[in-house]
Amino acid sequence: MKARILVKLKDEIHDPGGRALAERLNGIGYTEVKSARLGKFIELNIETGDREKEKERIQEMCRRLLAHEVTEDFVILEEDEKTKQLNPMSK
Amino acid sequence: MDFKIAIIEFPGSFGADDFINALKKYFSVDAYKVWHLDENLKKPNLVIIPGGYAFGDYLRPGALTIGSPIVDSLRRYCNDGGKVLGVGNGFQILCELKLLPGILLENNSLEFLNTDIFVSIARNDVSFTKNFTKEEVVSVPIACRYGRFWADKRTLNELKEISSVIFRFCDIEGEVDYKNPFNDSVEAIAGIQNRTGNILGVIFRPERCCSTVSAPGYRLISGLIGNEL
Repeated sequence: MKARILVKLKDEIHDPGGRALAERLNGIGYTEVKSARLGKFIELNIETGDREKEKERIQEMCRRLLAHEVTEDFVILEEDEKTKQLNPMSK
Repeated sequence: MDFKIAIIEFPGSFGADDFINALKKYFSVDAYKVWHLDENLKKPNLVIIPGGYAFGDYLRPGALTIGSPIVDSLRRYCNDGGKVLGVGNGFQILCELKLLPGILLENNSLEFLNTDIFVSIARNDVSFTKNFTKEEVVSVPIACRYGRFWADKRTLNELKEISSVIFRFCDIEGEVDYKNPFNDSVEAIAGIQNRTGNILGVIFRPERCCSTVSAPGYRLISGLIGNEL
């Protein structure tokens, strides 16, 4: 399965990169932008044949390494095999 | 030459040679490098994790060291009470391996800060800082992009309860601004030790300020190797 993982700093933690980005967007005319958060995008291609096990393992990878448990939030998106649409992974 | 210091090198670490040069020039110790794929620390009296960009700082600084074979040996060494000093990226690695609490985030300025800064000694009753006086202010070099210490409230309370904060950013007068230090580190933290007091992480570079007996790097490393000044 293909999974996409979005990782970002938790809202309560100051994100200087996001602040700089929002300021630049304002600077080039997009004054409607009030704030921004910068994060990471991770794409995983996993093949075990057992989709439930794959979901479990991806959750574990996120908790152990891909996202910092105290400072970062993560969202896992899984690709629908037929429609190729991305949907939040159901646990 | 009995005191042995192992300096762990990961791909991207670049502070090991600075340490080897400084330790051999100014201290009578046996300092040697250990590659991250090795499994044996070779029974050192002290382990140093130097600065740099271990594994390119990808994902988060220090995060990708988790699978290196030497890490298991390091954990055993720490659990047995072995002394460890993490400097800059080494501090980040110790936090990512959960050998020290908290995490180091990108500086508020988004800049790689390569300058001299002031730190005050929060505690001098531990072996690491026994050659300093309490609340002494020293000027030390810093070279990092990820030097903003952060921990959640529960961890911060624990750090306070067990007095784990050893160094704090301050101004030349020693005044600590807890809300707005120069890189926005929480509680102005520049260096902490673990609960059992055998692991120290500092964001500054002691190996770059140890050419005289009064230099802070010399005094810190002297404390680590057990030299009285």
